Amino acid sequence: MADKKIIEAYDPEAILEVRNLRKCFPLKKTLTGKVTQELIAVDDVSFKLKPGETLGIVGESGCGKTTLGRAILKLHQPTSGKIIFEGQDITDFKSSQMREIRKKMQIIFQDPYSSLPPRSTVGGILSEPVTVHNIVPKAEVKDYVLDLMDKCGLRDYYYERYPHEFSGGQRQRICIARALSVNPKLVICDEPVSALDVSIQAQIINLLKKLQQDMNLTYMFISHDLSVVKFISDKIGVMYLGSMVEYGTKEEIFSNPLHPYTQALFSAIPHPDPNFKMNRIILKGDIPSPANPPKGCRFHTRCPYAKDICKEVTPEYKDHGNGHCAACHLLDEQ
Amino acid sequence: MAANYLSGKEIRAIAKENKKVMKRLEAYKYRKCDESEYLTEMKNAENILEIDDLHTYFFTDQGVVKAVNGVSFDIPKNATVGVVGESGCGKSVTSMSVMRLLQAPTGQIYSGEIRFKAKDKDGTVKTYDIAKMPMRDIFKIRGNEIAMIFQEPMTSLNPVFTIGQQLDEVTFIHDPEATKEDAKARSIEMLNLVGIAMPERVYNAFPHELSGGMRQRVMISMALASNPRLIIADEPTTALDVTIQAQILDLLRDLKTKIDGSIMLITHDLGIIAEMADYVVVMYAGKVIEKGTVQEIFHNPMHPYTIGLQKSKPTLQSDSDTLFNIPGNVPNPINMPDHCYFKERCTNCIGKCSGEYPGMIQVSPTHFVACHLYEEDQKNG
Repeated sequence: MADKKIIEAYDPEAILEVRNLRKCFPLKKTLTGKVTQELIAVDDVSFKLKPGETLGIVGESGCGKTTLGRAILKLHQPTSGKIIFEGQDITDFKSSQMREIRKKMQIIFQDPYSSLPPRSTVGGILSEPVTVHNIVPKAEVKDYVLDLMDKCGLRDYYYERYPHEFSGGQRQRICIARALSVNPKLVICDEPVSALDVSIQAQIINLLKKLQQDMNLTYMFISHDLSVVKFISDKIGVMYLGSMVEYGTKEEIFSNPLHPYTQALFSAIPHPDPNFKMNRIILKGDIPSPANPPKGCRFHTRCPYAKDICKEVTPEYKDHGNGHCAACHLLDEQ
Repeated sequence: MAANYLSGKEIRAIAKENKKVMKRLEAYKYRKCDESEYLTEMKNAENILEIDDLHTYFFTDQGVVKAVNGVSFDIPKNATVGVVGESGCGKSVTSMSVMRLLQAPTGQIYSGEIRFKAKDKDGTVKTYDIAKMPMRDIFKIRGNEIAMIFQEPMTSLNPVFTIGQQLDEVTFIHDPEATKEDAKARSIEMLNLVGIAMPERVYNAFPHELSGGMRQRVMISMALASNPRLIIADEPTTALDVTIQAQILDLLRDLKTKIDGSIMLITHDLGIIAEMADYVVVMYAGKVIEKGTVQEIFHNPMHPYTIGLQKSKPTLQSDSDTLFNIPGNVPNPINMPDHCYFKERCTNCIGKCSGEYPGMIQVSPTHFVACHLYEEDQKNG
């Protein structure tokens, strides 16, 4: 059955392809179970990711970036759309079929304090995925784990220790080691550094970069911090209220941001130089509730350039040259 | 690096010792005394707040945590002073000491002075030593002359009262003669001041009905309601998104000119400091390691930690391939070493660094740094 699912138009170069992915969460149901109101967390998101690349996803809280990451791993079942991983359509895979895929796809969670089991030792945490997935013969598991710990900058005597004995940065290293223990190809990093201090953040980002080169990993890096995303990514996707508003290479996005939201997001970041004067675009108002998104372009309530058409018609997400995609009516006119 | 395990016996011994000290300090806090006992003089009349060699300790069963260990800095009139440092460096504890909001009985101001120039009701200017004030007199200053904006707007607003009730309370406490109508008018005025579009509606709303940015605006309006002369903003934008953060920072900058007061801004984000502050205080492990004007700190950082901190933050403008990182972790707050706390993580250590903790060295009239590297320079000329 799996063979049938190979898609004709699939890009053989891409390791991951997401097509029109949509994820809705029911908010209200009638007695018969019919959904009357739903929250569209991810709406019609498409992108391709090549091996060895890093895709950075940025957006504010509630824009669906975490849901997108989880939906790709099938921790949430997508409502519609397709996820194609290494030529296989995994959208409708059962959990037993996903088990094989999970060897190749892993996730690093945001909060290193709550994502480690408090009752297992570091050795136990790291050996479990190795034994479950039969990565190496049983006798070699310990050596394999110690080698992995060394790669992630953890000392060997940490093997017997418990997570509560470590600081945030060390715990994040354990989380990274756990994700890499099964030799994955794609790692989804869900805000891996936002809970850490600046000096520790730099250590973790450098570690992630080094591991990517050593193990030829593909990252999907989710973060709200644009400067971190810029540092680590090759491609960047900007999300707003569930939909991707702009997508392109790092150079394109940073030198020529097309969407007004991206421009505002860039200008909002405080720059660590007191003499640096930036023409700040300060957006008015708050992010609308995703349960009740505005009609037309979702950004029109806060957009400084909004026109009448923006309030009625949803702009089309299309390519504006060199794979630089954006969804905005202003761009269509030019 | 042996782990720090204590036996039950040791813990009990520490607890007994701590209890004695805490009892003494608590009794001092709740003593009855005359105002003259805590009146002092400012060292510099231009300052509104002077923190002088402040020691704030937490007496835990594992040992004494010296969260603030000899911090001194001044806040001049109409200036924004940014306090920057990583988590656990004592920046929040410093602000809590100023407000006298430390978690008692574990957290205590052990020694030091916090001098604050306050205006009495009749308009006379008096200088109080906040560290010596008994708790029954602290309301003269707290919330009235010094107001605070907390980090988490969700947890600092009371969920069972409307915004209006919580805002009115401030007016009632600081002005006992105010009527309900006065208080409401004042609250609405405050909500207007912080740029809330429909103040009447927000006045009757509960905190859960508002977004994070709105809640933080309400917190700011609450802080402003009593016309404070100093606002302590403890990570006011950490819980907010970047676009909302830009709004709030813009508002704070705007307000500073409107209310004619000073701001003590506590944050870990160097970008915010560069944008907002006039003076910067860099803290590390309970001590001030460098202080100066914003230009000096950003264009001529001297302490290796300040330099490392600036280099380790990725910016939109930088194009390097790897980030600079400071190796290692912040040292354990219990049993701090005698030598410079940054020694284990420092890349340009000299022989002297194993000696005693470096003193503050004056580099320019406003620029101070605590590092042995610059002692030599000073002696040589």
